[in-house]
Amino acid sequence: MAFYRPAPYQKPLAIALLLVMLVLPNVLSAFGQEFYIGFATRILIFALAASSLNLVLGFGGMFSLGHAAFFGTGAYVAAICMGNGINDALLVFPLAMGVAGLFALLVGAISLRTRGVYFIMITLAFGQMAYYLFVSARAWGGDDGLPLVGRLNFAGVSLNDDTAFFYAALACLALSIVFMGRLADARFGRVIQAIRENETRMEALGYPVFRYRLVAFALGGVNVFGVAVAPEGAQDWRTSSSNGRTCVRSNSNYSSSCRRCGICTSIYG
Amino acid sequence: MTEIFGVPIQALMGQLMLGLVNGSFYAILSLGLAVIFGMLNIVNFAHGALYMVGAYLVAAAAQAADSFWIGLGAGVAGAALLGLLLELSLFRQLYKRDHLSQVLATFALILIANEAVRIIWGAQPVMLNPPDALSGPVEIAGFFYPAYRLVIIAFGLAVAGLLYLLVAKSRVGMWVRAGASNREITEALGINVQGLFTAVFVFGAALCALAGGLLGPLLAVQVGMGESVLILAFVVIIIGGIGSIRGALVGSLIVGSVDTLGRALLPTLLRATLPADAASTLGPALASILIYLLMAGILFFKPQGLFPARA
Repeated sequence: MAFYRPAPYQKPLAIALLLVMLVLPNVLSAFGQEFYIGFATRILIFALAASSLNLVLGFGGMFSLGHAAFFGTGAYVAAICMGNGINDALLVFPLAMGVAGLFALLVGAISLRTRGVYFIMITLAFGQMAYYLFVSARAWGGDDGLPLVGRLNFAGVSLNDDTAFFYAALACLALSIVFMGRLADARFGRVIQAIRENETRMEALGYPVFRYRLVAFALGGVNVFGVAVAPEGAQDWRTSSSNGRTCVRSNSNYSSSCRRCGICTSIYG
Repeated sequence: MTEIFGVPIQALMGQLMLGLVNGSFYAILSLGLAVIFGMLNIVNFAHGALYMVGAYLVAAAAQAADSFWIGLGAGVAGAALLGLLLELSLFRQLYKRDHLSQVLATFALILIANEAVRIIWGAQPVMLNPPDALSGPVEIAGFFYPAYRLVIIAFGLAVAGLLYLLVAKSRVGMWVRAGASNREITEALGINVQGLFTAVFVFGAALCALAGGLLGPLLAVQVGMGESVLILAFVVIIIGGIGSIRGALVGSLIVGSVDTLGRALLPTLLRATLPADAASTLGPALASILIYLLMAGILFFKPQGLFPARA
């Protein structure tokens, strides 16, 4: 692998895809298929999660199995905020991102001391720890998960409307992908990719390898997972409201879907 | 009755015994994984899947033959055969790949195995009964223990001893170790490394089924039983040091005792020091994550595990 360089067709393709996405809700409504708006939102949110893992795994070469824990942390932050009546996304998103990022910083600071398969296992262990912590936290729903009472407001616009929610997720995804593209091209992105290729050499050239990796790892936790989370939590509200109960859970489904995301990102990175 | 940390000594002895049983069970499971992981250098997430399939095979065979021991033998043989097929078809391609491809490929096997088992045996847990002769308790030094659990301990120690002799003392073990450290030179000396690796993998698969079959009567034989156990087996190996037989055995006993004793003692200990409300929330959480904390702590101070196999 070399440095990331987008293929010539990628930019036009991305713009075309964005345009399609912009009109998608209208098209779906025109055909009376509103259900698929929620479905498409879910896809966008998982793409957001995958693009975060891509930073850590694809560019950074750090094979983390604990990534789902950051996703779950952000979701819990959002759900707890909403449970306490804080509904403003402009407040909740940064908070969820911050907490997830701090958690990632902590996990990274310990895990990145190890290499190779030990790193895989220690991140997996942290994922398990987060899982057991949340499952036994009875104040936050324990095994049943945490109910979400509604959706966030984004700058005064309620996301309770499926279409508004779709556009919010789309905006997050587009921002994140643009950010990732810029980051990969920036000095920081170049350094972490070079570390992936040859750690010893970068160390010899005087780069603080551990710190670069740690920042990349924490950014993976902050950037997209925090953002991804809040909409995903609210998404759960939509799908399970028919059962009369709503949940956010840091469960193994998340982690397995994140491992599945790993498949797409490894191809893409 | 004497008490330690507010727990009667009789109960404490029982918990210690349970820790030993769990440790022996982890030993059977993780010794197979240790050999595959350490010698073949494959991160085998399918180990848990093999364990589950093995337990189902043992249960099915035991039901058909109406004998636990025949079922155990047949199930282990079946799992070994499955291991052989897997090695010939998939794992052979994975030796040279990086850990990422290995984890993704073997993780896929878990999903496939779970669904396949659900299709064949259904979602309901399958019953597996211990042999009648061993279902009663045995008295040792004034305490009563279920005989079947003692059998598990015996199996764990026997497997560890056998593996130690095989790997460290026998000629075949020497070939395998040589093949693991330098494949080309070992092949140049006229040893069939590929064949040896296949045999090692099949042996690991058989141990999985042995663990599954032995634990079947104690736990339910059900879909998804492999995942939680798999992570524990990896924790054991990481704690013990990758590729070390001694490490896997010691690691199993540590993990088994810490896990069991933590669950038994922590809630009481916390209740003595914290308000009841906080203790009842924190106790189970802390007990569940205790072994992961242990692993993180050991990795922090000894990144190679307790018994690094290769200096």
